[in-house]
Amino acid sequence: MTAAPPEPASEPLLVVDGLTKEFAARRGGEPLRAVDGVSFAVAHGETFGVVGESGCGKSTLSRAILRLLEPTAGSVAFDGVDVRALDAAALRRLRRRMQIVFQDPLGSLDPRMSARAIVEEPLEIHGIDDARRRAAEMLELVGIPAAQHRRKPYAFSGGQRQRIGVARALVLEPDLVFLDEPISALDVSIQAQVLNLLRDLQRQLGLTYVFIVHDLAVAEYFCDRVAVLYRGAIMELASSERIFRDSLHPYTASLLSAVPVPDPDVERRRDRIVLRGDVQPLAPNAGGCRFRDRCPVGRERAICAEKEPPLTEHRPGQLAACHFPGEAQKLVAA
Amino acid sequence: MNANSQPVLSVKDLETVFHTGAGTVRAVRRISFDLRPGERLGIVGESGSGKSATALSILGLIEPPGEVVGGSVLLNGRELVGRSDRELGAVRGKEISLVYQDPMSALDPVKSIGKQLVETIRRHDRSISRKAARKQAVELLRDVEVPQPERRLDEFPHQYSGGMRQRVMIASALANRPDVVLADEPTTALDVTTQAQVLELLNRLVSERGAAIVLITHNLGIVAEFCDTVRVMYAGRLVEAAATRTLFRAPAHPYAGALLRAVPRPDRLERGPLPAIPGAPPNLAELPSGCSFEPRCPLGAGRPKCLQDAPTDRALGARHVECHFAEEQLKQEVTA
Repeated sequence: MTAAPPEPASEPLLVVDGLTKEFAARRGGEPLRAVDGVSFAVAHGETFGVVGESGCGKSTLSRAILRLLEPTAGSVAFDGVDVRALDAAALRRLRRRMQIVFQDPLGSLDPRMSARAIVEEPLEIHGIDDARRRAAEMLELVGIPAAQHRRKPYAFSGGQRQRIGVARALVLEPDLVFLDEPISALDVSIQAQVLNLLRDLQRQLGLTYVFIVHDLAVAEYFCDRVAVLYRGAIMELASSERIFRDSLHPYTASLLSAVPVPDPDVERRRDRIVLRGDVQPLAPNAGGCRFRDRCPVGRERAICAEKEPPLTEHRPGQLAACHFPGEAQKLVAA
Repeated sequence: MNANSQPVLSVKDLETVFHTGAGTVRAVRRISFDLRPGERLGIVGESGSGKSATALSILGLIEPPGEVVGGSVLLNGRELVGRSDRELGAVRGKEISLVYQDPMSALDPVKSIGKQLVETIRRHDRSISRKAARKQAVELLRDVEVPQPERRLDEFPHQYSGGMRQRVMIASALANRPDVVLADEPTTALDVTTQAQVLELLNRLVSERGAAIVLITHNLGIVAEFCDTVRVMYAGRLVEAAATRTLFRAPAHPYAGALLRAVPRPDRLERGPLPAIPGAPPNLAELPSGCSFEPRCPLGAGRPKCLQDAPTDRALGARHVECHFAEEQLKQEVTA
């Protein structure tokens, strides 16, 4: 089904509709559907969060949108352009406007190149003039002083390396940036530095972000709206405030209740939903709700086993894929 | 936990270095702490602060180029530092055990889970028959909610999910009822819902068996949830020691205060820039002569005393802190 969030004033920058990515199974079994009919739209200047646990499909989703992996079905429109219809040359031109920052700064930077060469490279690939000056300016903007531009990645700290990764993505002046767990490999005391930098850059350069993150507190802090992904599909989509203060889906509630709060006075009087069991990969057409085997609300209910709940707008701007929206909240009445 | 009882584990002036090409890395710098029976003590710090090296030093598991160069570790009153591997082998897993961050590194990939559990159970008591040990292993799997334990006993580690492997590791670390469990980032490799499962299990087993635990983590939320007392580690030193509630209400060390403020909290809608800590942790091979947090410190950066003298451990009310200006820090926390 098409789950269009409330229409922003202008045309959205990115519209993803029914996007699906299957991987062929080993030993000729059923294919594995890593992303299963995902739909959402991202407005200009927005920070859209995609949260979920490992294996939920959040990284595959971003790669399928960028066509770093070919989608199996569905459509992606970027600024009105049908991304899936583009040939290789047109796609390369479009990629200037859609960039990605990866989780592991060391693994994504060539160890033999200087910081400046790393940032110059995409400019050269796209045949853009004045690469040296642009790269130097971008490095300064992310907080790498000129005296350090000739150093190689290993000579930088983890936080500085991630700044270089950000500079490399932003030097092409993209409109949309995918941030794929950009701070999760960094030390706690460094994470806030990088989040602040990303937010400053967003304001200065008018960027739109899709922020892929497993840390819910970071998502709450950083994102305007959030989609909660489970086994390849959106379970809930709403403003950050709604998701974290007044969620409707039992999976969202379970995730939130599992995050320990750094305050013993709050932490020890909380109720917690502890999910049982372990996430198993899902074959297509398994039927029923994909969360039902771990769900604190629907595990025993017939409708949850029979019918997959569609992602439906239950309150203005708040969508959930659940037959019993809001019921889990009674379990954690705080 | 009884504050008056004898410590089950007493660490004094423990010092560990690593000899590297870039110089001598001082990973653990003369740290001391006592662990009481049944206590849940958290050591919180960032990567490179020396918290994992502390656990390995206590267990005598530091390998070259690393070396424990000083100090003492008393377990039930007996010295562990300087003991042979054979002597330590008799203690590890029986009186004191370790839960690793990554259970895969502690499990043998080519042996079935059942075989490994049977070996663990029989290592310290040969009078248990293989058959009886196997029965115990099934019970152990059932206890940690591994489905169909009889069948899954013969499976191999890669056939278990990450959360299941860590539950099995925790159960096996507690199987011989040790007095002390060292858990080094036991949930860091896991998802948040799996983390909640594993912490709940750890909580239950530690209570049932009456073990004391040293929980090593970078996650302040886990300390708040789990620990009675907390030590904050920075650049190889324990810079603050306090009851968990005391520390979280008002940290006396500026590093602890800055760390608490820099982390977004899931129970608050925060907006605006986060109060980040500038710079990065120091290189442990080239530590400054003064306070190692001075260059990043909101309170002491540039102050002559902080530049010149490394602060030493002192009592401040019911807690211990290593900071020249802890009173100032506390005053700020209270008025904030």
